[in-house]
Amino acid sequence: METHKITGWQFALTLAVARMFSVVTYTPMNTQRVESTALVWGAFISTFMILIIMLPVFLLLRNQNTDIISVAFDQSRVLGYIVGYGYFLGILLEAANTLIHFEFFMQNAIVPDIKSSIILITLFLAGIYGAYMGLEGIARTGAIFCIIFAAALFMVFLFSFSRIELVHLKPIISEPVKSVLSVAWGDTTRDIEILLLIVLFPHVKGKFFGATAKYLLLTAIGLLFVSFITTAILGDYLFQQVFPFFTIATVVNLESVRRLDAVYMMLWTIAALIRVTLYLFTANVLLQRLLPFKLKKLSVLFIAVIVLVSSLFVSRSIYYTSIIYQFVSNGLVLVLLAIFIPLVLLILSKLKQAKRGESNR
Amino acid sequence: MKKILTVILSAILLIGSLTACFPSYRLTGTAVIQAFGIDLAEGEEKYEITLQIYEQQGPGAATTIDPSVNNAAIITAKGDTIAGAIDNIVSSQSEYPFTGQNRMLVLGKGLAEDDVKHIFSFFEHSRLTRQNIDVLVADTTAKEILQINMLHGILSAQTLEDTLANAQERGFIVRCPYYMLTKTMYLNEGAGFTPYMIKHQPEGAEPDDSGDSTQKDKEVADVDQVLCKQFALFKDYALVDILDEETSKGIPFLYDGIDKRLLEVQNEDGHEAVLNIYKCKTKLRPELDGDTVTFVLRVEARASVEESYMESDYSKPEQLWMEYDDLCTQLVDKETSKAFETIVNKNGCDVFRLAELLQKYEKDYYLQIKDNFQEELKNFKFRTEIDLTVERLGMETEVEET
Repeated sequence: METHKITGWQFALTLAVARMFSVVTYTPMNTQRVESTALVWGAFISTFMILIIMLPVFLLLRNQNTDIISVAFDQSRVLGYIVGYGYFLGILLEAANTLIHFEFFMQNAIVPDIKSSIILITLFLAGIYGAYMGLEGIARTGAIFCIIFAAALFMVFLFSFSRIELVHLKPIISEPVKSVLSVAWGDTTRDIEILLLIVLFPHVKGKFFGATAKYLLLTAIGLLFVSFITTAILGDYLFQQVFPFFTIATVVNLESVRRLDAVYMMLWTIAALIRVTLYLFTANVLLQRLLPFKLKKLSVLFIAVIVLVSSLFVSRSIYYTSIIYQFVSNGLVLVLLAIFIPLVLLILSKLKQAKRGESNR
Repeated sequence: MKKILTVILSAILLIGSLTACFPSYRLTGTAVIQAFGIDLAEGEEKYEITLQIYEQQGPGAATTIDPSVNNAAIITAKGDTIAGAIDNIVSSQSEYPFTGQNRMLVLGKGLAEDDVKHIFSFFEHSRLTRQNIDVLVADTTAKEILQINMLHGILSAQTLEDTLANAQERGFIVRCPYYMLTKTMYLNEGAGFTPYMIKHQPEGAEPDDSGDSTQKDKEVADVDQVLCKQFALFKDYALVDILDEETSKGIPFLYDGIDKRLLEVQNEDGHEAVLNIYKCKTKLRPELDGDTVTFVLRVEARASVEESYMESDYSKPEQLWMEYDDLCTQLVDKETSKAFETIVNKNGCDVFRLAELLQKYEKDYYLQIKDNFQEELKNFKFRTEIDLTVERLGMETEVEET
């Protein structure tokens, strides 16, 4: 497996593609019942929420080219394993979640007649191949695809321009602060990619803050754009849609391309592939570090089989799918792995520094 | 060797990833639906579905598609639900119905008067239905509109679609895509509007039974036409009114949907002119004065002279042009006022986003009337502020600068 360092921009662009998969699939979250304008404000505020959430991580990693697992191992071996396996499970869960929701999208919006296993297995095989190719290959593909994705989003804007009704962006009447904060929190909790940022940072050239700033800038633009366009075209009607952004594609009326939604489907597929690949690769990196023995190339296969079997099981029923969805979107994973653990490690490292200072005196 | 194996495996994977091909239907065994009609059925079952499908009429012609005839066929079936009726179609004939190329949904008048809410569910769950298909109401039954034999084009559904496009381009109607209708109805308690299509036989085109007509006469006699200059108005998901032509002409202005529009005016001296609006931008805004809300339609339009009839010795043509300006302004004011009064004040339908406009521009007042908004609709006032400029006079009339 290749582990050459990639640039901050490559990393940020690839993570942005992975993030955009959840943005276009879940914006707005189907459990949210707020006024549509709250989606736009919530998207704007969520960027600042993520910055605040990441404060402990910034402080922890600001002057060192290391990741959070190494910091935990520096504290104690047991803590290192606990933190490592915590991140491993979180990332494994998100990999399975991506497969499940990609299958959900494909079966509901595109091809309901086929077996879910065909969709899952083809994406799974492509994902394994991508993970074997290593981060450099994933990042190159991700960076190029991110530009294509941005161009496609611009196309959406261009072709849907005549459908935009700014009257939908009206003041929020019912509990404005609560609804905006609720949307912002929902958008923040779905930004699981910051876990990849924390774990994979040693594979990236440059400073942690620089890569994070680039990533946050890209995702803020993407999230704001998707929230704005769905709200301005559909208004409160977007809450009736399972995939509001996909609906935007189906309302575009072009003489030359009558089914623009078919082109959009390609974006979903490639974004899902890059996301799954990235999560499989990261889970593999973690497993290689945590296991006392070497699995070599078999480790990717081992992880992929766990992810595939669990997603095949969950995707059998809409009930299981919604349980996983609720679990990931309630923010527990993010609070635990991106706030609680870094905060504990920060406090422990400060205490350790203070003790060292005292003993040196 | 590794590379060759990788290429072969990748090729197999690529083939496997073409998942949309499972299961597949041969093109010759597929009924490609071009238009979808729904009527209330007579008898025990609730719905009668009419599908206009693509059926190439090539035998004997130079190409497989004969452009001189209508390449369409009609299939009908009944059912208690839309899906059930489609199922009956599948079981009664050999082809698989494919709705992915559907162009329009025609609702029979009887069905529209009954309730349209229940039919939306089928289209919202069908992933093949395009959200931008045209929706319209037929003056009689959807079946009759879809069975018409129209001249021009190789498909009557395509010709119907082009007719709608022409009517919109000339400023008679605003096309109503499916998502727009369902969105408007969802946001406004079942209120919405769609174009209203009337089957029309041209004058003198009745079939001649004397037996001595020429072939050309026969062709004319067989051809149907459709008129699309009116709107069907919905409230609580049911048809409540068919708007007359004058009222319907106001809707494109209120909806900022004017691309082009001809205005015919005549002054007191009998001078006539036809002005062509070639550029038009409209904005509807609420104005609050005490407890009275007036919705103001601001129209900025540019027009050119299409035709004019004046006496050759008429001494003050510049005054006449100004008079035409005023007459056109009055005409637009009359049409839009009538549309607002009929739709909002009389029928109580908020199809112009009035609630959202009030929420955006007069939030405090909106909060006061929010719970009784439907009752308040009849009290809203309307006026226009029209800035119409005739910029192009043509080549033969010289007008002095005033």
